[in-house]
Amino acid sequence: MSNLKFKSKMKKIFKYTLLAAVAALSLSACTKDFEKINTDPDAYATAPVTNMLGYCIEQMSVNWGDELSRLSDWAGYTTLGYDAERFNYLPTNNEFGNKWYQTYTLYPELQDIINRTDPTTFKNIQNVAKLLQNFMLFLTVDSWGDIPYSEAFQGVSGGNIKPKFDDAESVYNALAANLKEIADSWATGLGDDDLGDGDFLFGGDVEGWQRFCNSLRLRMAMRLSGMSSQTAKSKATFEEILGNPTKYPVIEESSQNCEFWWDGSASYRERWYNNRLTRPNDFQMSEVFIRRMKQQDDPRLPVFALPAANSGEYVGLLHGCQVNYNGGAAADYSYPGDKYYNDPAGSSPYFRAAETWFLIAEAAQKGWNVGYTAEQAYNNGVTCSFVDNDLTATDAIAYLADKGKFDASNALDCIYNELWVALYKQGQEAWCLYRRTGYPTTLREPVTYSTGTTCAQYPGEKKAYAECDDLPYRFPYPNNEFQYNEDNVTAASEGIVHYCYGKKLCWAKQQ
Amino acid sequence: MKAKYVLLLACLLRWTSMAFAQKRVSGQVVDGDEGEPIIGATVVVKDSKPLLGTMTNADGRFVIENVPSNLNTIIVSYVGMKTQQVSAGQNLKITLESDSKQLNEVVVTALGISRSKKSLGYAQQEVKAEQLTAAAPASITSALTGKVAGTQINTFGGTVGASSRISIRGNSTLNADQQPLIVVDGVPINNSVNRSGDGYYNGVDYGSGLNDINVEDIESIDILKGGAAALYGMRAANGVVLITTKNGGKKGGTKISYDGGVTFDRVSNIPLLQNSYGQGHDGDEYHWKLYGGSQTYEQYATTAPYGFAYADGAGSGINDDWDESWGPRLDIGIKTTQFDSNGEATPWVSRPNNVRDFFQTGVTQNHMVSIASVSDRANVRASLSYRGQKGTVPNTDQERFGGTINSEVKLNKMVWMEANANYTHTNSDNLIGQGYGGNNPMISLLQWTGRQINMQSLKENWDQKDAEGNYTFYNWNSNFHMNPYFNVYENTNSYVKDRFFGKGSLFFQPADWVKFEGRVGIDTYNDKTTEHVYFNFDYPDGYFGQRMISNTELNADFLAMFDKKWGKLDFNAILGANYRDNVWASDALACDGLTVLGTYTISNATSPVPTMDHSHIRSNSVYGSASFGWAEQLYLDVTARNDWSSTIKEDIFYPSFSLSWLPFESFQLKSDVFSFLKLRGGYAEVGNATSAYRNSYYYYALSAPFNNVPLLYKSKAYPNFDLKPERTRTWEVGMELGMFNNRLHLDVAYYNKSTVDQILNVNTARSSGITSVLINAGEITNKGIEVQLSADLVQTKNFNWNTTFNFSKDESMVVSLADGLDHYDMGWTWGISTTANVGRPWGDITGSRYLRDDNGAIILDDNGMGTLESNKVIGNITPDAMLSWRHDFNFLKNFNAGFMLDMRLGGDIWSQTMSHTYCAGSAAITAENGIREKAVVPGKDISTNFSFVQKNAAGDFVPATVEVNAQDWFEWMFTGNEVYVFDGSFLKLREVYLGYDVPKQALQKTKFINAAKISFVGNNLALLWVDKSNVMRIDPETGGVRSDTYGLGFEQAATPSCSSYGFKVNLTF
Repeated sequence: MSNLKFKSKMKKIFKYTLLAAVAALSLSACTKDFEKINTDPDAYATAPVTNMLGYCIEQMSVNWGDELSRLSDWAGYTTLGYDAERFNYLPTNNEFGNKWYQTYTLYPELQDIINRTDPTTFKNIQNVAKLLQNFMLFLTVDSWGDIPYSEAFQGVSGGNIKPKFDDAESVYNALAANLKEIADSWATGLGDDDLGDGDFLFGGDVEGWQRFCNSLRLRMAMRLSGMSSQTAKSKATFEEILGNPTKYPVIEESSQNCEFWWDGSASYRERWYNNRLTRPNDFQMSEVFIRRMKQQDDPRLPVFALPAANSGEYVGLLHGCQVNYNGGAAADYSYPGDKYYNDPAGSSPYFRAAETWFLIAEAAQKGWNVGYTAEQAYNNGVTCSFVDNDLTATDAIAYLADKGKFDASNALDCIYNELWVALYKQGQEAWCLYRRTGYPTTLREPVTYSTGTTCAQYPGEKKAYAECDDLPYRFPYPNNEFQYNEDNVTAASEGIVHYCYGKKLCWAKQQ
Repeated sequence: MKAKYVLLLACLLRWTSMAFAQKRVSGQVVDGDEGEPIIGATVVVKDSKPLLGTMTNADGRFVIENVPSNLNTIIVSYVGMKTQQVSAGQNLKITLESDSKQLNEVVVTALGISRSKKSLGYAQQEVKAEQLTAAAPASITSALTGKVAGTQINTFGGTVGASSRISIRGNSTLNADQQPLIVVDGVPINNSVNRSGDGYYNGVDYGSGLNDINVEDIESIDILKGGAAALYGMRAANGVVLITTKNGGKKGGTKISYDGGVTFDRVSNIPLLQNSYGQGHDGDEYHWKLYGGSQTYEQYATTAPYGFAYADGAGSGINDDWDESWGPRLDIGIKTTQFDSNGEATPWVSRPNNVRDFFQTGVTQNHMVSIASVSDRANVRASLSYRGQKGTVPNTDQERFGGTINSEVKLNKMVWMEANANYTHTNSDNLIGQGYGGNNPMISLLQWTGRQINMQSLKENWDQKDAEGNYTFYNWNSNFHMNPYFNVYENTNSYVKDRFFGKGSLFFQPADWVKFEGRVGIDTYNDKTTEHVYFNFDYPDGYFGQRMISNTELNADFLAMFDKKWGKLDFNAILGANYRDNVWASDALACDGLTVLGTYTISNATSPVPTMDHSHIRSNSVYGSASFGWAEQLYLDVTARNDWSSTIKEDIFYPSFSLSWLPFESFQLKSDVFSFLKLRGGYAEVGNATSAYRNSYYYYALSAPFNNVPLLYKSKAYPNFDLKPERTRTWEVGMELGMFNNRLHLDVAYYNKSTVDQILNVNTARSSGITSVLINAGEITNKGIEVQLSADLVQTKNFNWNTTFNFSKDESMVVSLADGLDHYDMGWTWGISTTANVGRPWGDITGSRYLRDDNGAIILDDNGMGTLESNKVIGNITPDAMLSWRHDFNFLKNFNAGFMLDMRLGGDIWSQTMSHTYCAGSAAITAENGIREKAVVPGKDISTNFSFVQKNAAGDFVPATVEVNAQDWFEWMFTGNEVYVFDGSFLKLREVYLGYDVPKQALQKTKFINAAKISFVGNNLALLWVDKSNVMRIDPETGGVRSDTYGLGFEQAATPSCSSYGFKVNLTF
């Protein structure tokens, strides 16, 4: 090969190489599509607010809607019959993590609705979003006491991810102020905007939300009323609301109840029904609840419960047994009635009219000016509960004339016991009632188990620790906070023993 | 590839020869081992200018015309053979001998480039076909197990078609997926795992991508560990597995082969269970003495409330709804009603083999026909294969059909092409569910169970129907569990997959020192999984789910390769560019309600929920490497790569360099004892890019609308708007030493790597409003040593004994995570997590642990309760060391045999089987030493592998004396997570084979068989040793419900592993 030929060949090769390099570089530099390629085709760039509202209501109900769980057990409605001894009445510190999770992650979703809408033209949906935020925080502070509030939710915009915990009373004060602000906003007139298909609680009826808001204010005021720092405020709240029924309407009829109705599809089944499907033998009716129903000859019993399969009688199971089923079989005990336990499209109640009336009755009994006597309000409460349970006002009249008659000499006993019954399937609220008032007192009366032990049904025969001599005072702080917000949750845990004892909620009475 | 390169070079040389001839040189080149002609050997005339030469044809023959008469030496060379210089002449017979081992071994490196192994400045280990397939392993991953130092392979359970996990040089990231990149013949292929379920408690394992390759089609596998992988840039952080498939070979002519075999699988290592007490609770002697009053034990054991009598399996009898084995004593003459007794009282007896009886002998058959054909213009191999497997679990199976073609065709002197195509079709009628779910029969077989259950009756009656033709769901229990046979026959998970991968390459070589390649490679598959539940207690209305996945990865590469020698300087360089596009899509439909049970159609489904998911990633890269070799003794490699990826905003640069030095060559130090020494070292940076769509906020919808209203939400994880890939920096040094003419060969590597910019999905306290933040932070280091020692211990005419020993040890350290973050959870199940803790090795098991005194004894209170502390380190899942020792023998000319021992030291495991069988009273330990007959003292009579203390009156800790009963103890008193953690060390007899080559003389009579070999093979024949903390003797290699990193360290109701044995036949026509 001559030198010349070699040179020309070299040139050619360099040309090829250069071409290749240029081609390669231009290919590599071609990144202008990359942003489009890296945009998730399965996601939405934005979302209609009503669909987000629907999501929040459904997700809230998955976790805060009542289920057969420790809560329905603590409420004295049902009993964890199976494996009772193993659970020992001590929840683990992960057990209520999902409720906490929903409160803290749905709040920003609702905030997104608020941030993306104009406050003047979207008054209704903004108020509804705020109301749900405050409602879930109310449930949360009721359950845990001190919780993160003033520094919470900042991670959404890249801020503080380790919020401090606020004192429970200060959280209640803030929530009460927020709820009043919402109530006052609607008091000046409802907005014009349509809540859309996502309003699964009131079907777009804004007045329903307005009633729910004021009723929650009553619930909160009564919850705190025993605290010396709150009594006057509670009285003022009751008198403000009940003194201005047009400005501050409340849930006063069963048709106005705040309930979440499940759609019954495989993905969204009512929670008690869901439990029955997969774990049919876990929960039986509680002995204390059946006892009360029988003592009162209460006509609501066949709605609340089914007779035991083996005997045809209504038989409740003791809480806290040494041996499962107290020595018998599952079929020896009553299960919840079909309305509550056998309807995939059943409801998770949040606030029913009966509760409003029993709160008013209690307020009247305290001597607050609420426009009703305790007895009037009590009678209305019982009547609403009868209607809620497929009975009639006439049935209620018969009951109120008989075993259900209001006893003015023992007024609070009547009110609390009937409120407890009316709250059936609202384990969370019934647990609050117990902690505030000690009702139902039967949970603390000694019973004798088949093993011969005599003690209160809480904590039952198998007390794990000396300090755990009652129903749990609170939910255990979730493991997630111990893992990722350790300093703050540890500070908040001071005085708490075995996760749920040692320190009561600020408004709690308890034995 | 080098061979082909040489072939072209040779053609080129012939073409450029000039015509002033004087003599003719001719001859034949043959292989010294087998006496077969060598095709494509290069023959050149020494000192000819210009260079005269040719290459051998299909018969190994060559002719060089017109050789100047003064030139009398020719040089004959062939890849992998010793180059020979011989005197020029006519009709020469030149025999080439194999290159003495390792010295001039040629290995395949990154991008499929063949390199002389001595020139590599980093560790690279190759496994050849014979080692892979000698014992007829079930898959590539089982074939690799124990054969590569520093490579850990986890296979999961004893089920058909299960996936596996490969990790190279320890664990260095926090990602679920840290498997190496798999490259077949230069083309990256997908090795993702197809799995359903929640990934924490249960799921079905449909296998991983590597299962689609037939082991018998593989020529060799090279594991690129550190710097070796640097040219793969952002995909190389976890190493690269380079698979080279077989081609037509080097011998001319056409060859047809049949390879086939049958193996039988038998379940081994069933966890140790008790056989003294049956179903129920409080039925033992201890509770009889407590509650029995005046009853005889027999009365107590057969009457309410603590006896056992079956009525409906759901609570109507006496404790017949209990799925635990705390009931009455077996084998003492008691009779009671049982599920298989039609209301009669029948003997209450133990059935020690009832779990084993459930399983059957699995059978696997393999058949492959291949054709190899080589001529001077083409090299072709094609194969057709079938693999059929029936599992040890009844009604589980898998079939795989495969076809491959590998071809190389030379068009003219400068242009040639390669094409490579692989097609597989895999299908299974049923694969078993794993973990804690209704469709894993293991749950009710050995965990929540009665130990007296008659398996034969369950087997015979699982399909019993009533008068209306409905299943009666015949079973021992009717409120939690299905008959295990019903489960496997009616609640099925089926799978079908079609896959194609391959490439086409065009080569252009304008001069002997430069070559261009254009290559397009594709890997595409579609698979479909269909899950049916007729009925179980998770899905009382039935379940129907179907998912289709399609994935296509396209790689287009352009490479320019240079190879030039100036005197003693050898120069090699590559410049290349890569375009990659990966599109993945999933379409799924599920419903948990069927109007008519057992009919799996959309119209029969109540509210079916469709879901869709997509991913699209594109990247562009340029890369280059340059290698300088000096006098065959000193080598320097430099590589660089720049990546642009759609998932990351910035582009990324990855450099590497390495050095290799052969001091014996430099100083002429060779002796009889020391024959070879190589010192090497290098540095490399590689990356680990991320998945799509991680750098912005999105809104999503829940899979099912509520009342026809879609439910939308904003993502709850705070995205990282400037995400970067992880970066791994590796320093490594190594040494290879050959002694006694290289009969003893030692290869030692030490590496020190640091992985920074970890992509952490940092969980946050929910109270922050978000669930996690995606960040780049943190550092994990790994330091490790890898040793391979191979020796030809005996080399005689009738007996050869070769042994290979692999040892590796990796020590990891989580140096830092994000600011203010000292631990990071990876895997999770049952409240246990695997965690990276700052200042600790990677992979702690975190869970609850009992409070202890200063001596490590567990402190009990007066009731016998310990105090649990949560979130404590209770183990670490990383093995301390891995060892394997392989022996291969050749004897009596025609026999060969071998075996391999495989050992792992350390690597803790949390066992669901232990946790649940302890609680359910079915584990052997729950009924040992009469502990159910009396009150027992912890540490003295029960749980004696732990020590316990109590406070005495003076407040001092003294050995515990509190009395407990076994049932309370195992059910709820001593149930902290730490109780179920065991040390996963093992020693296994991994492989055994004995082969016989039928003598040529015997075959000649058949006229059409040229070679025949028959082998007896065995895999996983014995679990020889486990740690004493493994009290149930669970095979530490059975896994959890996911085969990625997050499944490591968990044993979750795994199907017991199996031992397989069988035979294989190789015939060549």
